[in-house]
Amino acid sequence: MIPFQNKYVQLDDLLDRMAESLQLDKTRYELMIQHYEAIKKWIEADEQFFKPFKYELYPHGSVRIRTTVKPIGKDEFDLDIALHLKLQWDIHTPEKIYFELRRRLSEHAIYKEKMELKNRCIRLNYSGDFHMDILPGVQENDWDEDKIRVPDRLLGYWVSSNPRGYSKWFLNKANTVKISLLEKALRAENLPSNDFENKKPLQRAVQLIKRYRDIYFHDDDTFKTSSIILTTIAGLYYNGEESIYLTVENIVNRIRQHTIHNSWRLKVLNPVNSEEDFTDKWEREPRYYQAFKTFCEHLYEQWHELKKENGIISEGRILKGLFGDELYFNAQTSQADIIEKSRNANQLGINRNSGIIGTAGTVSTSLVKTNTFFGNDAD
Amino acid sequence: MMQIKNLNRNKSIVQQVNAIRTKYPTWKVSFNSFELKALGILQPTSRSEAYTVEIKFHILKPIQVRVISPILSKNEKGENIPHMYSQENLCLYMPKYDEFTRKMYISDTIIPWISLWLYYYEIWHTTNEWLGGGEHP
Repeated sequence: MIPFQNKYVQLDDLLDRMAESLQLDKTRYELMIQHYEAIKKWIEADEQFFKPFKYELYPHGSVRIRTTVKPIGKDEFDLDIALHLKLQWDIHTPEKIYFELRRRLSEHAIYKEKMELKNRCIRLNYSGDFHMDILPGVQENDWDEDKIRVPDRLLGYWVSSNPRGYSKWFLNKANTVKISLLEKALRAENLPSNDFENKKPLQRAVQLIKRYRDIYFHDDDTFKTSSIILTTIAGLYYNGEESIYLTVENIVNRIRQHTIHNSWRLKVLNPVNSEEDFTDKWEREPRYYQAFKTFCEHLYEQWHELKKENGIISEGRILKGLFGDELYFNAQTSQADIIEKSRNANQLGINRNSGIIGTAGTVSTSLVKTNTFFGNDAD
Repeated sequence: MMQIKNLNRNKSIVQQVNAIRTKYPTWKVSFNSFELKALGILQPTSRSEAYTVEIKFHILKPIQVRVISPILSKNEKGENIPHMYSQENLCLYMPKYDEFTRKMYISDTIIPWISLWLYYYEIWHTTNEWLGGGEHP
């Protein structure tokens, strides 16, 4: 049963359901693992170049930190995979590593078909399911297992990268909260908690902010804010809030504190490599920063509207505007399904002091007996 | 004799009034020998509006349930509200299934159903679908 007694829990339940439908589903997650295990074997068996080296293949980016967002109008996810080679990085040129990966993949009939060359990675298009971006990289030194150098084709040299370190940083932030508001509420009702380990408020908040970004910049994405910027800001500003709603609220408030009080732009540095400014583009092209500010201001206003508690109907309008009709509809329908199941099992009750729907059999509740809504809808 | 037996089986107005007053002490109930009127506030979820509803029950007429405030409205598409009689009273049960009869307490049937109806009414507004099932004539 959904805990409808607490207004924060109720809203978080809906936000959680919206985020859930943006998430890479289990079937595809498993499919992705199968595919990259197969790719790993294929590379391992390469006599010409790769065989003697030790290496790892692992997901990074949103798939690793579980903040994937299904793109609007499409059903394909972008998944990032790192091919992490353990060899002396400066014995080969960046072009060489990239070239060898391309060569090996093109020797495979299926991969050859699916291959698309990008600046730093090679993309395999599994149409209908996902794009898998394989980033080749060479470990930078012996003492940091996460730092790699990756070839940048445009620049023609190595670029330092730390995708696994970044994931660790983000997940540590997300796990500063032990148990979320929603999980607590479900536990109180003795309901099995639904894999909340991987669905912490920060992760959910990032998914929702990214989704809202996709909607906001849908018609004109020229100055769209990138996911890495939004994810990093969220991680930096997160304060261990237990609820998804309050997590977004705090992040948006903190952004606004900067943007309205300071004339200089916000700088978002890579938390695992402070020399890298994710927002250096904002320096060169201030319109990116301007678009980011307007976007955050809109989210701030809408989020505060939600706080006013104007009832489900006006709240629904706000949420649909932020995250899209479809996402809202699916979340609301899945919530209603639970009510319906509980109703059919004769477990639904209402609290007699308020009228709030809940589990029957608790203090001050009356069972909702079986009924069939009827009526002539015409005037 | 038969008639008295029947009346005994049906709940009397006083019995209905007492049941409502006991279970819903904040509700205002007025009555005479033939009918009762009950006015109370129901909020189906903590984020919902609080609705003032009125139940009218006459021994010879069908029970009437309406929402006094906030005023119920059509959805964005301008469609009529589902599961109402003439857009006036809520249709909470199917008469021919005997889900509610005069032998039952209003407090145990009608009132919980109103809350449930209001829950689906709000979602109907936001999704344009009535997710609470039911039948149409």
